[in-house]
Amino acid sequence: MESELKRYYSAVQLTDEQKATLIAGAETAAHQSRTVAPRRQIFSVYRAAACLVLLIGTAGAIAASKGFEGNYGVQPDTASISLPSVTSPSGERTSFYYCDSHYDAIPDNTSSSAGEEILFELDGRTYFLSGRKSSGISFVFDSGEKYTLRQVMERGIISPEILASGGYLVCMVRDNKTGETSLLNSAAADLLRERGGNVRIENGKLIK
Amino acid sequence: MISSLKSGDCIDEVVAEYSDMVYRLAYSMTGSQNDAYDVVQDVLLKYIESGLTFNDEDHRKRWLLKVTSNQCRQMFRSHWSKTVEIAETDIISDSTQADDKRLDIRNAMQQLPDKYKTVLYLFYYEELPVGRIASLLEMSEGAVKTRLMRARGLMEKKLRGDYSDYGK
Repeated sequence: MESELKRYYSAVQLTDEQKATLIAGAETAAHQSRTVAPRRQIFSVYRAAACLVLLIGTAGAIAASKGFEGNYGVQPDTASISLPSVTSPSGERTSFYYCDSHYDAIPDNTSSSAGEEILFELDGRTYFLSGRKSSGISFVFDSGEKYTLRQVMERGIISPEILASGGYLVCMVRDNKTGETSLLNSAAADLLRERGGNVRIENGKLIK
Repeated sequence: MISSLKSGDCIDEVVAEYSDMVYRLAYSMTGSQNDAYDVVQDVLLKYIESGLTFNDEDHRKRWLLKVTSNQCRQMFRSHWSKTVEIAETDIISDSTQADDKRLDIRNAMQQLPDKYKTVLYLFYYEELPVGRIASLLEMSEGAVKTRLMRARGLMEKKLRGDYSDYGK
């Protein structure tokens, strides 16, 4: 029995591809940790804190002036967003799908190779996008199917190159008015730009 | 043997040597393939950022197991884990499914509560003594022994006596 248990656990292992991804991300993180001097790190903490205070203050002031509650000072009742159509794992075509996310875990600023926060503006509405490392986002299709990011990737809906780039650009977009979230990746953002949306992306900076 | 005991060095060797160990423990604790993969990444980042120089390989291994355990607990506490149910895919490859006995084990293991899978894994696979498991899971040795006994009992029950010598 003990040997059977060992066989069972031996079968629980990462794939070579997952290990390669881990190594690539880890080497980037190791390089960054070596190149950032301690004083710079301390400064970064203060700078991040100052930015946070400024961001909260600004968002609060905007929200108060607009007379509604919402993150990043998003205006309600502006243009609707039209996301590119995608195919769910069961083959269903859908133009919109939702995802839940680690709201309490993102943005993960422990490393630049971890979470990435992007804010962008479309037709006067600001959206919050955040990518998560591997599976923190679940994708809930209109059909009710729910999959992790990895499962969605394995089914070829999202290109693995997106993760391999290290940017974790598979993102969620949250409509701050309705609270609804949906999937958006960098290609979708490009598409939205092509469609004439006033999209501006700057990592980690609030766009005004 | 990994050529350096300093975190941040020889990352590829550390991943090759320990990523499966971290993944197995995370899988035992989370019961989710994808959560386990997330935990592996988090643990690896913490490892790199720790800046630690370990006394020996055993020290490094214990550190990784401890951080993995903590990371899993943190995941349990998150809003995400309390609200989202994810469809899991089979973790065992097709080739192993051919072996009926192994399939029995796998089915029995998957039906066990996570807390039992964890102690079984640490005791039988990592071959850690009860005292060290207690330290890792922040439990008393008595509680670990009780959990092991119940896990063995459940396994035996699920396997309908096929492995009646289990745990002896």
